Amino acid sequence: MGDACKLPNICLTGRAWRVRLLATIRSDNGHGAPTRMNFDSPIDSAFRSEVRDFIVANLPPVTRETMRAGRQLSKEQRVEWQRILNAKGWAAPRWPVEHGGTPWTATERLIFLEELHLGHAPEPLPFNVTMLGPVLINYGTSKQKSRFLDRARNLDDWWCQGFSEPGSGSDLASLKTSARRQGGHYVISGQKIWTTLGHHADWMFCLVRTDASLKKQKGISFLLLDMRSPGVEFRPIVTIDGLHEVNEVFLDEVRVPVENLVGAENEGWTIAKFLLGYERTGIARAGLTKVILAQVRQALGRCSPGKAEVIRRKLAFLEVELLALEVTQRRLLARNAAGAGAADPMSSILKLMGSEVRQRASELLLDACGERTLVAARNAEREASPDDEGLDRAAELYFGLRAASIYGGTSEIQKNIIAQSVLHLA
Amino acid sequence: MNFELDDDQRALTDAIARFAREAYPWPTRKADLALALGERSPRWSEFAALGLFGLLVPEAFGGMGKGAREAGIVAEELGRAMVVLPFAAHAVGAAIYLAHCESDALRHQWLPIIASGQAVVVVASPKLQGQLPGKGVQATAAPGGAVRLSGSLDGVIGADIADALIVQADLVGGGSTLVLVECVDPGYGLARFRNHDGTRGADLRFDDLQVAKGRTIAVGPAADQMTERVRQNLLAFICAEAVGTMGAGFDLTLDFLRSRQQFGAPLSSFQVLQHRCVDVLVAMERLRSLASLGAWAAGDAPSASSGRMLAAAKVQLGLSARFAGQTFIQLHGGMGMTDEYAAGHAFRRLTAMELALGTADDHVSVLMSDGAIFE
Repeated sequence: MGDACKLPNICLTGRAWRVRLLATIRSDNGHGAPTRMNFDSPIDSAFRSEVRDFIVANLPPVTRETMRAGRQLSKEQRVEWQRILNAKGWAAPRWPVEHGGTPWTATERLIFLEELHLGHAPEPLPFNVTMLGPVLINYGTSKQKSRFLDRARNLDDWWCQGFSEPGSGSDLASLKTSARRQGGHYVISGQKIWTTLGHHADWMFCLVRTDASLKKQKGISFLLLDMRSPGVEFRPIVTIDGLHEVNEVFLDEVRVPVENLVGAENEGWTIAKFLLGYERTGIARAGLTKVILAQVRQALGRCSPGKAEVIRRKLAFLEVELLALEVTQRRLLARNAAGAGAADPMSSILKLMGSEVRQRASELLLDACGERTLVAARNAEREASPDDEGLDRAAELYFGLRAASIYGGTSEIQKNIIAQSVLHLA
Repeated sequence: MNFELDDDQRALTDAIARFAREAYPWPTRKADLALALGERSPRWSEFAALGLFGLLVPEAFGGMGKGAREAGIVAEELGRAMVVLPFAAHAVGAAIYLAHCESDALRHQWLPIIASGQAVVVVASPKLQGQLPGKGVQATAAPGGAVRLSGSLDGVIGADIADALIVQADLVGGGSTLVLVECVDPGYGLARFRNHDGTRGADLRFDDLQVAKGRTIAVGPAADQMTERVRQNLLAFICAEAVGTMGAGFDLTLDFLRSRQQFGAPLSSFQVLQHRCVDVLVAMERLRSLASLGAWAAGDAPSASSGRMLAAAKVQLGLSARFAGQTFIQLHGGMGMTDEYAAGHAFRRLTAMELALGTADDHVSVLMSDGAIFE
């Protein structure tokens, strides 16, 4: 058309028009076998294979079976796997290389996480790796770094998170646990709650109020607390899935040396915000949802033909939703790689979408499995048989996953963040 | 997979957006909606002057030679402006059919016409229009390699102003043929209609219409494959278009909430309304993602897996468009119910896109019968 074209630039021919589309789609084999799709470039694809091969070769079979059946891991199983990852240099992917991290891109970290999920391998302990570690690397003294970082990465110390309190959930900054200075120590009194796996922990990083006279965000400090200190008491909380994973922690005049203050006194809120925004890659946990959908597919074999048809229909809708989530995740990743490093409020959308689709997948599994999955315990202490594949734990999973839209900022809090920071509604 | 736009694509986005804003402001759009059936919008020649109809036409035939990704960019901006011209049928459907046609003569004759917009060419195939059972066009062989068409095809978008059509007809004895029909051909009849969303078209009748041998585009499996390519490209286009329309409706809604005061405060300060808006954003981002995937999938020869991706995208269009469209009306209150106000136009366009080329239910049934998306 040449001269008829009034659009600047679009009449240019050549180079950039053909977008380099790197996705590889392995199409089906013509026998109705399922298609696996992924969004990897050839380089990413090679990386994925490397991770997958490593997991297959090194994940202890008992741990894999425990994960696959949806049973709880022991402390020893987690420690063992974290040390295997650490020996490989993969225990703390996002840490700087000089602290034992990896040079991986966000995409590679996403692939790593997804392969852990698909391979039924535990994630590196988040309290050590995505919470305490980055805080110390960014705010810790050199003494704190040398004392704690290597041990955290190798899970020599098990850390837990002391943020939430009975009266301070979504409104975390209203926390009341107090720390008063007494010579070379802080003396801490108060109560923490939802302390995940705190019963395994050696140390707790916690937020405490060091100055009650300041505006609520201002008087908070970030402390490292030795769980063996006198005055620390635990009470297990059994959740609606029948499991014990979270705890209450009571702190009664617990003495913490001043050297265990991270950052400046009363600057703890800044650190907490840094921690919560640090690792949002993979926050959607799409790989875990895929594992559940694969279980739904297995459960189809137990359904009547009519029911199977209904389940398959719901499954198709969920797969569309999961596909949309995966592409959204990749889009935001690409956008953030191109743009500045600031935390993207759109990552709240991934948390929102990711927890919702995972919950819905577990609902579908519940529906597919039916009444038999309600069995919570058997007097015969029957271990899961190899063909159970976690199907007899569908109800447990369903109950437990209600927490996915509560922890890490409830869906409602995520919506507040999006409404304000993305849509600018006020 | 690269979802980011490159510089040229960004320039294309900006240029189309500016054009759509300037050449297609609201009053102009309203004037287009008010045109009598069969009357061609003056905007057609403005689009033609811009060269936009040649987007997918190879450069050798006077077009830009672009692909599905660029078509998606254009679609999104046209969707944002809620353009009701039969752009997709002409510049995507007819352009792809003719670009892949085996006849040199047809390509040389028709591709430059499509690129320049000198004539309106649209597509009519039972696979592209929601057909009632029993409808369709039959082709019988006539002397000299010609075929004769008889039968009917309903709901052909753009046929109200078309000069020519690419028609898919069933061959007696099996298979189908794709032929080019000119609207002046004897035996061609039409009943024009206007849809709720302002798009227009016609129900077609073929009464022993003779098509010369030289106007055959493809026969047999090649015809079906071509139609499948067109179908996938139209699906990708409509998904991107819906992203744009949804964005326009969403912007209207957000502006409305910010400016309207009730109970002494802007509506945008109410949390329940804020959360509804976030739900719309989520629906829109889902569609945006699968529209990108769809544009990528439609870029290559159609396959089972590209078909699945486009089915997934169309399912998402159905879910997102319905939720977002309904929410636009609800959050606008009574204003949303008026024909005068733009929100209702976005809702009706979105509903039309939901229903076009198969509803979410049609496409879910494809996904159900055609294997899993994920392993």
